[in-house]
Amino acid sequence: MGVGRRRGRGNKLPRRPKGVRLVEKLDSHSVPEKSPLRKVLPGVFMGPVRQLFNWGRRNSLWYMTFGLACCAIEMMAAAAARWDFDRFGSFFRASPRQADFMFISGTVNEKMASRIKLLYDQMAEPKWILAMGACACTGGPFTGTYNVVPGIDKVIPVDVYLPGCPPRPEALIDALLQLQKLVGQEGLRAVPRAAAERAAERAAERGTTP
Amino acid sequence: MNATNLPARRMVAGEALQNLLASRVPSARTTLRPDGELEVRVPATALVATARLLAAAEPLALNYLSCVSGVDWLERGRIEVVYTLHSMPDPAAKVSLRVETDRELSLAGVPSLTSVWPTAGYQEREVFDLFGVKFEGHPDLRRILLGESFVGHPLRKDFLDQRPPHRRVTREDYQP
Repeated sequence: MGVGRRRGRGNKLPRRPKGVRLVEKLDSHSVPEKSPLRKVLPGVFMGPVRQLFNWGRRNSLWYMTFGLACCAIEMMAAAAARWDFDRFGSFFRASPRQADFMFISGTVNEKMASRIKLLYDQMAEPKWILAMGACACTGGPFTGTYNVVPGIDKVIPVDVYLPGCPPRPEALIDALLQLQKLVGQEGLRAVPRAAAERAAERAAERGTTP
Repeated sequence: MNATNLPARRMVAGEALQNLLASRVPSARTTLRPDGELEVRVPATALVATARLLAAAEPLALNYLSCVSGVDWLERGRIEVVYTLHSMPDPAAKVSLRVETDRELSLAGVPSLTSVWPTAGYQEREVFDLFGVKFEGHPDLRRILLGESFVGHPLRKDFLDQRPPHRRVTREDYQP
């Protein structure tokens, strides 16, 4: 996408046959139909950088290899051949540094919560969290017990809530598409300065890189 | 190893162990249940000696400790620790070795059986974690399931969850 359709004719731009539109629409933010730019830049997309970033981000959302409970089994099923998450450009990454988002797939107890927070802090911005299943959303059947966190949103911010116990892989695919929609609306978000400084301080205390 | 004979063989094994304990540990109170499981109640002072006797008994060595659990008797002010024992030479034999201790947190303690069955190590840690029973002589008595900062022992019947209320975190107020 985005470059001239015909190749192998040197630097000369191809002559435009009658009836072919000069600029393909990326979406509603592209160059308007009547803009003079359309005449001088054949075969070229125009649009805000933000749009290009979001297009790339939402179509290659990599997620942490991280499972907590029975929901993780459904997550693995969704990633495997039958439901095949790879179709959406999403697949497991075994490092928080390379992950764009994380499924919280199961019951979170108090002991695990601090580990999840650490993983979240290690992920690079921009990052998203998908709370999968009743436990990750609210604590599910374990709400009110002595060692279960009533929803991971009490520890880290959540972007998409997916109910179910556990949700089917089809529901997981829908949640991923919702997340893609969300990522498509993202601005060029910067890490809040104070938060970045705090993260660096904490990392220095631990002797790691932020 | 005929499964249909199991209840009968369990009774035979239970009676043999009951006789053994009657002659060797006078302070033990034994009950043979209708299903053939032998309940052995001993005072804490006789626990290790009884455990050693059962673990080395011939020909029914109770050499497999499958479970250590706790029971909180709130009304009586006691906590009971139950060791469930099986025998590898004869699977028909089944014993639950029970010992009681005071419920008061500073007094709750029984001798550790890690010297008899090494597998008691993890399971006694679990009973310590959830009931607050101290096992004297345990090589590494720490919490095992709950976090180090957890306050209290949650399977005690008078346990109260004193965590502060949880608040939802948003992107704006998240603290790394």
